[in-house]
Amino acid sequence: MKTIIVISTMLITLLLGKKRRVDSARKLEFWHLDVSAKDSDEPRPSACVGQPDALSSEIHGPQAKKVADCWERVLRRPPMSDDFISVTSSEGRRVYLRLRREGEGTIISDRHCTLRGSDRGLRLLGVPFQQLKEQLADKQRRKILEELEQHETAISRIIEQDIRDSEPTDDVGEDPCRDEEEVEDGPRGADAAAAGSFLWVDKFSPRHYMELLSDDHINRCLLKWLKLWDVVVFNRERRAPRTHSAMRGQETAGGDPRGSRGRGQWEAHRGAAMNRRGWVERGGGGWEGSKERGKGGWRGRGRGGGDGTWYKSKAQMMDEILEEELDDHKRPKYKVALLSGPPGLGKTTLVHVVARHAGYNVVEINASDDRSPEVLRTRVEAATQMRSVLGAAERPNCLLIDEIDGAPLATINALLEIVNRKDGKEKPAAGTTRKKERKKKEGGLLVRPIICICNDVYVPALRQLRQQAFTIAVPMTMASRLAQRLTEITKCQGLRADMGTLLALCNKTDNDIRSCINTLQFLHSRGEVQLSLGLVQSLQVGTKDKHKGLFTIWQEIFQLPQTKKSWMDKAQAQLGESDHDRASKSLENSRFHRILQLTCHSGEYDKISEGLFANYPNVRTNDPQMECVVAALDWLSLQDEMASMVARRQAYTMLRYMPMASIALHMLLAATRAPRLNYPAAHSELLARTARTLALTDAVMGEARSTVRCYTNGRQLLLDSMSLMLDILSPRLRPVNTQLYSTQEKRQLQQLVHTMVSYNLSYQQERTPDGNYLYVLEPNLDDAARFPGVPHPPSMPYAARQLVSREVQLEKMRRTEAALHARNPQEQSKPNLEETKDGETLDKEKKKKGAALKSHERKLEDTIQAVTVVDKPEKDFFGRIVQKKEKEKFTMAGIRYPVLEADAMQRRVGRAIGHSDVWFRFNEGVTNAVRRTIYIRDIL
Amino acid sequence: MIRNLEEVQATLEVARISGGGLLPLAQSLTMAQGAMPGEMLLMEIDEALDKALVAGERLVVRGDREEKVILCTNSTSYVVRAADTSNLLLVASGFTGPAQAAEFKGPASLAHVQICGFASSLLETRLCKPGLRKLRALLGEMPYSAPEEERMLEEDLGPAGLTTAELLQVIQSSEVQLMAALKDLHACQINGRWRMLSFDYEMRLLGLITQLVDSESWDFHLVPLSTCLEELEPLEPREMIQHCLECYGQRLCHLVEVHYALDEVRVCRALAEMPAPCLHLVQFV
Repeated sequence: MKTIIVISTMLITLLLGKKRRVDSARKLEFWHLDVSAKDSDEPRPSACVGQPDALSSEIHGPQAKKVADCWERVLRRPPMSDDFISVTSSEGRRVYLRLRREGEGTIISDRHCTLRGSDRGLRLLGVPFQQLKEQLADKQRRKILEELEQHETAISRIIEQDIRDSEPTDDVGEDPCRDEEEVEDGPRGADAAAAGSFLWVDKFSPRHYMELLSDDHINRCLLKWLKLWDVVVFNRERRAPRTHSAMRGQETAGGDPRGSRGRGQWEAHRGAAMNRRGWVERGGGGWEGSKERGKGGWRGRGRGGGDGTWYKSKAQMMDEILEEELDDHKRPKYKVALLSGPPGLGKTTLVHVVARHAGYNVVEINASDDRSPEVLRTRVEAATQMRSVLGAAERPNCLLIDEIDGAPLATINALLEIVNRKDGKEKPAAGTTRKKERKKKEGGLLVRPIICICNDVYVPALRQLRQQAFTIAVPMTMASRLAQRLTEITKCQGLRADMGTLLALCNKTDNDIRSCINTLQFLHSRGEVQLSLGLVQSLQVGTKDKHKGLFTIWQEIFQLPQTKKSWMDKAQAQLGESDHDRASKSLENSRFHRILQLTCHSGEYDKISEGLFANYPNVRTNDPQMECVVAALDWLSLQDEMASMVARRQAYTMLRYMPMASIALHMLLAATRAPRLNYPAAHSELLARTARTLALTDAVMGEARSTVRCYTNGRQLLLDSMSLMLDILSPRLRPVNTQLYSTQEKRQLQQLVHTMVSYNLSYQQERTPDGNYLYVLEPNLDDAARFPGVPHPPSMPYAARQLVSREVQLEKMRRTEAALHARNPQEQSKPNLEETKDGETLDKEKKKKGAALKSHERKLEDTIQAVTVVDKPEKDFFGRIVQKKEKEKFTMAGIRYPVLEADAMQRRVGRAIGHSDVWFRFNEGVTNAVRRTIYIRDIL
Repeated sequence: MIRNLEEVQATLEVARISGGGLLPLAQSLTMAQGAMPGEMLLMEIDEALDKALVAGERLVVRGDREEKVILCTNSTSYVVRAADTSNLLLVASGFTGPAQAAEFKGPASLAHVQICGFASSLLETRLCKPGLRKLRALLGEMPYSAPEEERMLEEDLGPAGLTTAELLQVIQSSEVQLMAALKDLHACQINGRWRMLSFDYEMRLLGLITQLVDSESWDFHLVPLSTCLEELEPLEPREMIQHCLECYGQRLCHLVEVHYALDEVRVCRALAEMPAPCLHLVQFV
């Protein structure tokens, strides 16, 4: 029944209470905004506003009137004629609802009646909702007005400024950001909120190759790599490699006409930046300045046509890759470009700009979002094998895979599979016409460039890709260049800021372009007009959560911050805080916070403290009294205690003190020199060794005889017996035959064997890597019971061990046999019985006679009788008894005849031969005699 | 103690070889009285040797003590080797060999054969080349180089060279073979002693003859002996000239005068052995 359901939802709404109300408030607010902003003709939901209860309007806004109509349907008493349902409120009041058939008039029941009834007694808010709503709307309206005013003033100021310095205005005339501003001028005046939603980062992102902030060489490399695809993608001939200057000229000339037009203006800007850079160098000093100088020099020479020395080796390497020949399918050797670098450097922007510059349509995939291999495969294939049909300019796609380090290994393997796919049937000259045929085919040859972007190249999943990709590490943006861009932005947006302030901002954000611009926008939206150094310093924004590697963390803990110091000093000086103490204090403060942040961000306190513990003795400090070391040790033990507290008692309040130890160590031990750090292996080693020892002990316990086992346990065995046992197990035995042992030695050997057998120890022959053979105890108690590196008494020699090993094995066999006999004595006695049966008579006779006769009384007959051979019947191969033939045939030689026939034969043969045993046989043939030469002396 | 046929049959029965396949002729071997081992030396000979023996030729074993036994007839040489067998070799006269026995037709009969001797080894003779290396070495020791020098040498050392008898003592070769070998070597008998001409001297003689043939415009195959000897007499002894003509030519006696037909091949071969500047074969021939 629908009625009931509606009521129940209402009750739930009541119960849910506060949260729903907040939602409704928001919605109302939205309507108000809409009303004020759009001046729409939609009927205002005044009806609901007019209702005493806001909830109803929230839930059934358009149906409010109907509800008002039928709210008298709730009855106090049960209706006489119709079916009804009784409902009891939370206070115990009971009302009755008429039931009607569906589709007949209003379905919705009159819960308002209920609510109304309760409304008087139950008020959820102190102030009626409607009043609150009105107040909110008022506030909103006022705020919008204020913002409007602000914007108006800002715009007027910009215009004034523009008028004041006319030169930049001419330059900026064609500036894209300027363009946009002019276009958006009108709407912004009218609707500031809409403009606020448009991020400056997007707004001021570079549109052309020449506007890129990143390093020139990197840009050029990526562009060149993309150009290598021209042969396949655009069916263009590959140009012969030429000098850099020519290439550059060609690039800019071949590029967008807008780009080349805009070039002059950007050059002008750069010139200005160069001039200003002089100031930076003088003021900044330190590494910042020197780097800038190097850069400047490089660029100056690069213009001249030759490559500078600054990036020479790297540049050469890149160039070599780019000069390489295309493969069989006229594709470049590296099918994938991999851009890497910390976030906010503008990698994605770089790819977008360069790809567009080279004539591609960029298709972006975020690998962290499309994680599964199937999705990636379909998307990659779609992007590499299809064209954008709808776009005005029909451009080939260039695939951009962002955040590829977030993708799992399977996905990356899928990508690699696509990249390395070979199309055997395809001819090398794969024209665009054939590509259409291939489109239908599953898994064609990759003919579109793929560019991947990652933050960390050294993610294990990327290892395979890294080898097959044209890897470009995007370096840090130059602070000066960034600052210069920032000045342009501030100028566009009507912020006043000097170069120093912007440089400070750059520094604070670690030259993160996105962060800088966002900060500027934030300040601007707060209504700040004048940016000061102090303001930038005090900002909490602009710092990002950066996850650093463990080694970086350890290094930063053990090393004093050098680079930042100069900046801090300068900042302090500029702020006028010349007081040395305060400066140093704030310096320490910053150090404190830096380490705190560093440690907190990593979160791996255990690992950090392990590393600290492993490395702190190696840090060189001026500490003759070792006080710092002692203190550091104290801190580390404190942290250990806290960690154990957390782990044992779940005292998570302690967790907040965990980073303190690393801060303390930093304060105590940090040195200017970079420390040489080792990865802490002690803990894992300890764990492994413990596990090994325990396993060994278990093995010994398990194998030992129960008579031994019942008097000891593993721990006792390990701690007490084992080391002593090792001594017991190596007595002084001479490595000679056991027969030559004295009784004492024999006893010793017996005891040794007994011990070994009862613990089931044995000696196993092992071959050492250098070819020697050793007898090693198995299980090897040495591992568990002796400390490595500590000299121990000499063990038994090889021969003695061999002897013992043999004895032990014999003893073991003996014992198992004994055990077997003990288990089933009948079996064991059987063979003996058989034996006795066999030689029964013989034995008996022997015994009798042996007993009766003495040796001198024995006669030869007896002896002969004793040894008479039983004539065994002759058997043939199959075991059948062969019947002896009575008539023996004459043998060939005629030696033996049966006596009876001999005479007859002799008579017949005649006497000529007589009884001669010599028979001649005539052989015809060639003699095989051995010929030998005879000499004359032989015959003389 | 002579067996009869019946006994032979019985023996065959005992030996279990009675039955088919036996030839009808049985031979009963009887050891002759006083036949002793070592009394006989058996030698296997081929047909030619047999004939030579029948013809009553002499057989000579030539050579030094340490040389192999070479048996020489008048014209051939055989090397003699001993063959020791494990079988006993019986010597019987009137024994019918298997080939002849197969031809024997008629009823089973018994023939009585007496064994006159037995041996366990025999000598084999095998045809061989004569050992001429020794000859060449002997004659090459002291070649005949010039009549003047020869005279001086003779005074000092006595007559050089060996006579035919001496040669036959030393050289393991039959007489015929020896003579052929001497002719081959262009050896020449001076005063009954065989000498080899030295190469230079021989070439000188040949040169003289060929120049003479050339200058007189004689036919190469028709060199008159007498004229030749007359022409060259003042230069070399007559015997030597004639010897050289013998060596390099063929004696033709059917004409009135004795002529020699020089053999181009032999002459050319001899000339070619002379140390000379390199020549092309076409130019040379």
